[in-house]
Amino acid sequence: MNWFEMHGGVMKILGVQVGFGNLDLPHIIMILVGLGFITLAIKKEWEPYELLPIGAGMILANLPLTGLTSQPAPGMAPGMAGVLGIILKYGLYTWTILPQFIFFGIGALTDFSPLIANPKAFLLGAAAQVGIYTSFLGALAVGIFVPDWGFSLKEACSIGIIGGADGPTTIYTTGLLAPNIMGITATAAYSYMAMVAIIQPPIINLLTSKAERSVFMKPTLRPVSRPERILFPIVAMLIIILLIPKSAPLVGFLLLGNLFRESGVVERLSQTAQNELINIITILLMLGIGASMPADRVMDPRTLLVLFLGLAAFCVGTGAGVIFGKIMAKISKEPFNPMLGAAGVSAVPMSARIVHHMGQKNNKRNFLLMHAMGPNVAGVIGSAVAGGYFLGLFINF
Amino acid sequence: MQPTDWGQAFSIVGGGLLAVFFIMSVLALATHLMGKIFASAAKKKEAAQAGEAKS
Repeated sequence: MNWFEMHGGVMKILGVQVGFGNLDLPHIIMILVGLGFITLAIKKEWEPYELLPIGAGMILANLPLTGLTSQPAPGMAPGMAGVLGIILKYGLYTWTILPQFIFFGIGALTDFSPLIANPKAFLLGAAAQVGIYTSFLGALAVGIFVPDWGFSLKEACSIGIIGGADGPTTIYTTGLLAPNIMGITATAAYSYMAMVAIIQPPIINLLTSKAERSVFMKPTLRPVSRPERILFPIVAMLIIILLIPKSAPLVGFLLLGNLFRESGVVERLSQTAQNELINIITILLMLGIGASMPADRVMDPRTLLVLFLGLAAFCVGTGAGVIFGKIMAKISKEPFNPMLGAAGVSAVPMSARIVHHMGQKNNKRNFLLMHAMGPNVAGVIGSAVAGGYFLGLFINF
Repeated sequence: MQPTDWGQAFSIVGGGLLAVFFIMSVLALATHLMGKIFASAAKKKEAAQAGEAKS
């Protein structure tokens, strides 16, 4: 009797109970991808608050036999559900409450004054949502060429919404419409937001001339009074939710957070929403996103298509914003820099900063940051409206 | 995978673009009007204060 025969029982137990024995190539690849995300977050500081916990969640979810992603189910013995499974089930799939609280914190962090001072920026925020709809059609067109890789209408909506460049809207919409691709759409949205500085400048340069990029705008906007800042979230909330009720979970919470901020009478609550609350929710949400990407779900050729279509949505959104900016420059009585349209994608504040830097590069006198913040925050509202529209088509609360 | 109903797909796109542009236009208009109202109220207040100071 050799050593293996003597210890056959022990080896069998090790095969069942030790992770190494159950590690296969797809899991190893996903763990490496998770490590890649962590490296990008630490070394390049690309969206570290998002990519680091997503990468960690990905690694944890792909380590075999941990049970971390076991979701609670009726009749399950106590303690059998994993913590990541609980986050996934109650935070993202069944109750989908986490993205709404992120929006609440974003609302408390956002100053809408640049938008209130220049309401035309709303239109730039709308134009930049065009990418959502082109990628929606692109996702459906995949089925014409490769029927097995085709996407359903709900999946196409979820892919298109990546073009809004808004993480919580992408997560919320996908969680309700196509939870099977939520991890990848959310990761795509956050990754492209991190890569704004790489993606947007070539598109802006392609669509505008040096003279257009150099257009000088007065650096200051009109001052916005406190009553205006208080009334804005209330009026906007009423208008949007009465027109598209399904956008209420996102728009309602965004503007509620903003009302807390601007009211000036609930400072502690506003500070909590801006700091502790959004930090705690970010940890839970991003770990959940990472955990929603087990190898068997992601190792699919369609994943690459989702990434490509999401990128296309982002690029088309930027381009549409710039083209609309050029139209506004033609009809505007005052000098108008068409690059501002690119800030309509709601990657706040990165895309506004890109426009500002490009403005200064082309004309040292230009200071476009406050002008760009208007379309930038309008883009947040625009993408939430687009997400609410998609939900209204398929979901009955 | 069911074949795509392209008629429905294009109506979703048309409706979506219309909804986004319409809502954002309404918001732009409402915000513009709000600004005008507050500006005129501020002007009236200033004029009243100037009148009081004169008298």
